[in-house]
Amino acid sequence: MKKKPLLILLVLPFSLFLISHTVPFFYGLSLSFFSPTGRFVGLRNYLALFKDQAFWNALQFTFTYAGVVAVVMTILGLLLGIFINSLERGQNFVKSILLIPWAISLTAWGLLLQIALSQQFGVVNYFLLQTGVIKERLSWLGDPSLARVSVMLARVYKDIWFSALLFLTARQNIPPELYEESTLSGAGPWQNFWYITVPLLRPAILYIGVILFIFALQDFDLIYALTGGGPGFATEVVSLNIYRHGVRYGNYEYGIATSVLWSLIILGFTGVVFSPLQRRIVE
Amino acid sequence: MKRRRQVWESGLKFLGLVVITVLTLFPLYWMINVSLLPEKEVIRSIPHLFPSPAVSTFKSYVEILAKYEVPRYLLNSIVIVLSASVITLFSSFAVAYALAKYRFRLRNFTQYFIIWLVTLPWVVYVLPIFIIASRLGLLDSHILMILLYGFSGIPLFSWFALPYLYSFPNELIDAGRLDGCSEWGIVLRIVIPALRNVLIALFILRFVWAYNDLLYSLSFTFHRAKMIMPALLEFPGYLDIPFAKMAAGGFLAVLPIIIIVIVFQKYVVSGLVGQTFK
Repeated sequence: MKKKPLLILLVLPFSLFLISHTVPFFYGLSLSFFSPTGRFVGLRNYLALFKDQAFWNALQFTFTYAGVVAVVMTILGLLLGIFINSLERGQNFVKSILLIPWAISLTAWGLLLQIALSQQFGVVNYFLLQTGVIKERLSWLGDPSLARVSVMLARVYKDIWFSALLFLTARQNIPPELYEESTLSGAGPWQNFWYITVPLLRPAILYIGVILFIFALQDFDLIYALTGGGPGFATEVVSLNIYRHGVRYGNYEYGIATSVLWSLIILGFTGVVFSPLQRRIVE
Repeated sequence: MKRRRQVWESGLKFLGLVVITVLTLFPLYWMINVSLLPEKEVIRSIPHLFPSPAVSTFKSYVEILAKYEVPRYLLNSIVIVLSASVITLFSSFAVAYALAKYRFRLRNFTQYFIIWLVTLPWVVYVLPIFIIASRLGLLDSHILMILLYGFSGIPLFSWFALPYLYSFPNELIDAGRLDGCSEWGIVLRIVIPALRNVLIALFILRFVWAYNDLLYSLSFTFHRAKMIMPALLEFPGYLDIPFAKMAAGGFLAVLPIIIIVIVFQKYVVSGLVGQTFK
């Protein structure tokens, strides 16, 4: 009697995912040993990939991007969350607007930042000139190193509020009695921060940081909409690289070989960094 | 001395409040502002900081609605994502319920497997799915997009639903069994009504994420089933970048989600935040 619900509850819905995603993935794996004309070429696609400087650059930028985005969003989000928690008035108002940037899709956000970061007509350059921060208009999206900074800033600016909301909730789960006691025994706000808030929030900090990093590794939408991976390939991440070879150039086998290598890298990374955390989530 | 410090403190807090408000609302404001300006007035080195009545116009909206079939793309997105979210919600709820409330072999393995699937980027599926869908003649069809968005969210949303189901009291389920409820009756009459708010929250979350997604919609829809996010990217041409039209299209595309997030704010926060700290 108990077997039947399990079959329908677990096996059926889960196999929907396996059939629509995991099976195609393995079909792709088999295709990655062929040339576009259907000739078996063994590991040649993979060997070409190892020599492909554009792929290694994309890989490097993906990890830099995800690392910077995750670290900045975690630290600033934590500080913002604690600040919002300390507000006596206006806290509910702030909470209600924090989700507005989160609601804007990364695609629309990318287009909006194309407008705002435009070298000649953008509002960002205008404000920075007016306030005297810069002397001449910066080419936010045209200069390769500046464009890398721009996509990271764009990403952080959009979802830092969301990260703050997560930390705000975590902070409000700390029992207020702890602070009352420590204040009674003479601790100041900084001591409270370092000896109560930070240690108690450590699990949340770790958890949110890792999740933000994992999701930032997958980013596609914003970079595609904002720079398209340019100028040149300066801001190309691995997902854009795969999309470019496959959908745009029609070189599916090569793109799939890249996908396979990319999933192996993620698998390895997950195994090393994510699994201690995983265990905690499972248990 | 103490009072002076308090004045300082509340002053700084007020300042922080203002800064946060300005920073969070400015992007949306700027999108609306630019969308209401004629293209000529956007391209100037001293930008209009607000759409003064002297120059503002709805011309960009009229043009993109007439020229780019924006309403059809919006409708495609909403129909596809709405149907897909129903599929994701019930499938992942079922998976999470089975994992949390039944003992069976491979249970732990399945949980690890799901978390590993969550960390695997979507992009690794795009090319194989593209090839298979084109062989089956399913590219650019509504049904393909409904199934893809419906199924792709199953690992992530099972994982989201799992903590709620773990903490769901077993006593309620056992009481149901004692009262002679079937296993299905328990799910339908006890668990689902009790977790109604969680289900609403996860549904909204799935809707927002699938609606905002670009990767699948860009790779698999071209004309018939074209969705709004890839359609937005068509406004910039090769030679000209029509800022006002981009802003107008962007605003129309984000409006449904902004409304949903404002109306169902409570659910969004609990859906996202609740599971993290359970």
